[in-house]
Amino acid sequence: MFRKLMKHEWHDTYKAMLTVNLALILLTLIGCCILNTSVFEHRETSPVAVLIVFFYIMSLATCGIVATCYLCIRFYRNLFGKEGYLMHALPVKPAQLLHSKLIVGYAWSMLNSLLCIASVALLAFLALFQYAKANGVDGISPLLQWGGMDNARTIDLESAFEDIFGYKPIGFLLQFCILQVFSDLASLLTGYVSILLGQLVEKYKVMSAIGFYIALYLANQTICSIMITLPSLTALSKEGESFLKFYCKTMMHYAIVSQVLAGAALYLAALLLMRRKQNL
Amino acid sequence: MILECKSLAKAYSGSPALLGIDLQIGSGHIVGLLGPNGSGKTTLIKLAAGLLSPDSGTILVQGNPVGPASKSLVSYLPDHAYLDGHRKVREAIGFFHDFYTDFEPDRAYGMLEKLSIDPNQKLKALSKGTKEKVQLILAMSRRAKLYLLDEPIAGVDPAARDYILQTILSNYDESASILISTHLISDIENILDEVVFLQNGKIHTHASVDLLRQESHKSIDALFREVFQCSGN
Repeated sequence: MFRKLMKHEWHDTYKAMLTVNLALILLTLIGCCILNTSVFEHRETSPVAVLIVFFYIMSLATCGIVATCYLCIRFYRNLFGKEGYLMHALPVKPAQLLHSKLIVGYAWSMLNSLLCIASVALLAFLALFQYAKANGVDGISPLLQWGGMDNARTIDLESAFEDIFGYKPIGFLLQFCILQVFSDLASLLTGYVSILLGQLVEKYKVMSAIGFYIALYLANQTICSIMITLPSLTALSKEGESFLKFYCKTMMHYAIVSQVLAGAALYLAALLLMRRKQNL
Repeated sequence: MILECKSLAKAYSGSPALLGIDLQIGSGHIVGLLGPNGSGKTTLIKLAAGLLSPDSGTILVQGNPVGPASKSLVSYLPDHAYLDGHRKVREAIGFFHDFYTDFEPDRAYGMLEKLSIDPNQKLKALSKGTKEKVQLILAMSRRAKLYLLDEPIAGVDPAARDYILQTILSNYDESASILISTHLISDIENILDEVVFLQNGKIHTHASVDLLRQESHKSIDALFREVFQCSGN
């Protein structure tokens, strides 16, 4: 039964989620084409360049928000709207309903996030490549020195990056992907738990769910902020190592742990709320 | 017993909907669940289908408490459209076929053909009455032990009602039971074996249709009007 639930969940979500992810890929391709034009090379076209970058960032954010909203709205409508009369009459356990939606939704969220990261990484690499092409390889050196990377004279980008952030670029990207994977789970579960908490309220269930989402989101952000501030206290007492390098290196671990803990807590809450007595 | 309710009670925000219902329905019976608005008909059906949880009391479906086991025995038809409008009729049949081992797709397609409903149409493109017919076809295409039909003929035209009632009669197993809630008593009373009159969350009468007719010398429809008119409902 669980596999059938997963199959139908996948079938019902793939059109919308595929559209969002294809939009992301299209956005990246457009970005690649724009980077091949001369719009970023001339001072006169810089307002246009700024607008393009702004539009790109907004589009990335929109794709992420649309994907999360779609999955949460589907969770609500499918389980607690009119379709709930079908879903809750199926011969399955409530936890199976939750798990099927969580696994499929999480797979789509992860794909969405990894595409976002790949898009930014690809465009950043292309931009650097274009800059080097226009100004010569040596031209990158002053740019990196301006950014505080002293090793940049040797054009050893990996070492220069590691000097400032404590990671090689690939290592940083990998850590960021891990963080994103766990925060995706926490983010999706925040939506699900908010909807489930909204069901406990007698009236205004949707408004209550939105209120619970804001409260849970703020709580998660506050705890995460506190946790990533902890390494800075240790960094201040460290001598001989750059503050930023030590902070970036440790902060990432703390951020990942905070999202793992938030995900685990929200998952248990969702499981508990799904098992409570049904009242459609 | 197919359905057994003991001291079943349910309240919404403090106002009682069902008050200590004791009900037993054996196999092979078509039971009419009749009562004025707000008497608790839909609440009782939703409790048996597992969509509501009782405040107190128990419900057993063929000896199983409400849960996945009881839900596999119950075919439930709500009183409103509940299928995703973006689905095609064919996809809805596929969904039922996947989850209910007792679902017979050939029977569903046969009924769709008789009612001239295109299985490739999306549900949102169908009229309200046609949607109700599709939902009834889905519910009656199962070989369930208990059919819970909440207002199955309310939204369809009188000409289609006869076909639907025939569909109900000809598609249920003799060992199964049907609990039908409706206001259209005169349309269905000929197919009923028993009636349950609900009033203010309590069972007013539970008896065989033939016995009631014999004792009162009235049709069930006339008796219903008399009972609930006297009580001011």
